[in-house]
Amino acid sequence: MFDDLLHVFVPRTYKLPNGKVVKEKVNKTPYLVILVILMIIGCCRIAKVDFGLLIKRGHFFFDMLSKMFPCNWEYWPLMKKAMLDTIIMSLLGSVVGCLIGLPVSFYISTNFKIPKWITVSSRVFLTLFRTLPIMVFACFFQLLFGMGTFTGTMAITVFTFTICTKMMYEYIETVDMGAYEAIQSTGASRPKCIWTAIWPQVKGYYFSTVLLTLESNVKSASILGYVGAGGIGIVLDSQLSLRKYANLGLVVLVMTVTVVALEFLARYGRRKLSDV
Amino acid sequence: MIKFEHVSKVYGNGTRGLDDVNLEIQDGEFVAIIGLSGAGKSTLIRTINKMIDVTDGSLTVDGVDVSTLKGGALRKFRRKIGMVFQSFNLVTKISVINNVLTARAAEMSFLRVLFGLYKKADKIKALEALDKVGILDKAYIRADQLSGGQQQRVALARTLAQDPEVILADEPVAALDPVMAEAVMNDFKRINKELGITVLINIHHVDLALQYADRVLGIRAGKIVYDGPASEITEETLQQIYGRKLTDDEFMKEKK
Repeated sequence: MFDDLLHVFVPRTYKLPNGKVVKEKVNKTPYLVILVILMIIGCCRIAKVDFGLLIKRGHFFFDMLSKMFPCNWEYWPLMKKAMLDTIIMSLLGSVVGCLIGLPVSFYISTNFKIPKWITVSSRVFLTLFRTLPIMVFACFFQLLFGMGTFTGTMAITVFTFTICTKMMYEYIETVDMGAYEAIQSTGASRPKCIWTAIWPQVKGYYFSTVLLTLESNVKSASILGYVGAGGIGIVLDSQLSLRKYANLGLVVLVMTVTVVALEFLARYGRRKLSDV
Repeated sequence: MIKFEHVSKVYGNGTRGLDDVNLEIQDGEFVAIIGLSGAGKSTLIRTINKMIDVTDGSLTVDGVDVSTLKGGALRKFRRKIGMVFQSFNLVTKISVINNVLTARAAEMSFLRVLFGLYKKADKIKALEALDKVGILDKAYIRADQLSGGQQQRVALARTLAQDPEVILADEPVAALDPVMAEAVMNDFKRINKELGITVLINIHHVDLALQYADRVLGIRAGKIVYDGPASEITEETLQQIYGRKLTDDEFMKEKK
């Protein structure tokens, strides 16, 4: 038994009855498994993961849950504006971000012979922006525009823009350029060629990108309030610090329902658009 | 009139697409260009509307030096030169009529193109073009639902909707079966005769070239090795163009 385990790591040489010698090939998988286990242990140390604390305090989570539900329905009139804000912010941000993103993504695609310095420099610029998470945009805009939904909308718009351009230009570079060449040969300008030949090919993907960003934006919009960018996050923050668990329960419930509903809508929309 | 004077084209990798080409093509001619793949047929055709830049010599169309054209002037120039491709190059996701209408985009304002606001006259022109190639009844079907021959006719209609003075066709029948190929060639011939449009056509089928064209250009390694009436082509000239004798089964039909 121990011998077999040892030879999982150390290859054996087998001698067959007819005198032939077969050398086992080293199997790398067990080494990788050990490496991954070691890495997890190392990371837990660095992140100060304390399983003792988890066991000691973990059950308070269920205490909290039991205080949250049944939730306080009377709180609804007070929070409904914030929830509506969240939805509007993400809707507006997604649509505007994708609208601006569309023409830009054509101009950073390499298949329309746009001067290289333009495509490369814009891509580098966009990549830098894409490294920033949405909360960072929200913090910046909070300093610029102050507290409120406008800040949140701006953060979502810019964030969506960076995602949309990236997804679109990668797709645009895979389309069939034949029709583009044909319309170019009629003497149409580049924007016209793109609009007539390329847009019909990419629009299905584009609309599904819009829905995808909308879906993820509703989720991120619900925490933007923490940094003063408007929406349900403010309510979440205040009710949590006030320990108003029953109110918190309603907030969580409404958020869940909204996100699930939007996801269904988006999925339905994407299916409808699949053959556009 | 299209005039090549000592025109050469050297590609970035050193390939010679065209090598000292001298040509004169009169208005209303039906010219077939034959030669091996890679001999420079496509290059020759694409230099005429500057889809490819020449590297040497001068190429004039109606007295305009093509190499000097840029931006708006180039686009205006391209409007009078129609182009048809081997793989049709239709926008497959939109209807036939909308494909034909794309040829009008060059003349329209960008806002009209953006919202697809084609003028009534343009729509009528597009429908007429479809009628000329006999597929008017297919106008509102999506382009990818048509057969290859029908798609090539849509492409031809698109070119007609552009009101061209010259049509450049790059292997327009190479992807079609023999019956379709003849039908499309007949369309080209009719357009050439009835509308007086100059037609330049790259073609692999020697017999179709001889049957339909008035004038044949043989091209080999970027050089014009035959330029004359289709009726005067002999086996020797074909051998010169293709590097070896063509056997009977390399023709689509019985030789006459």
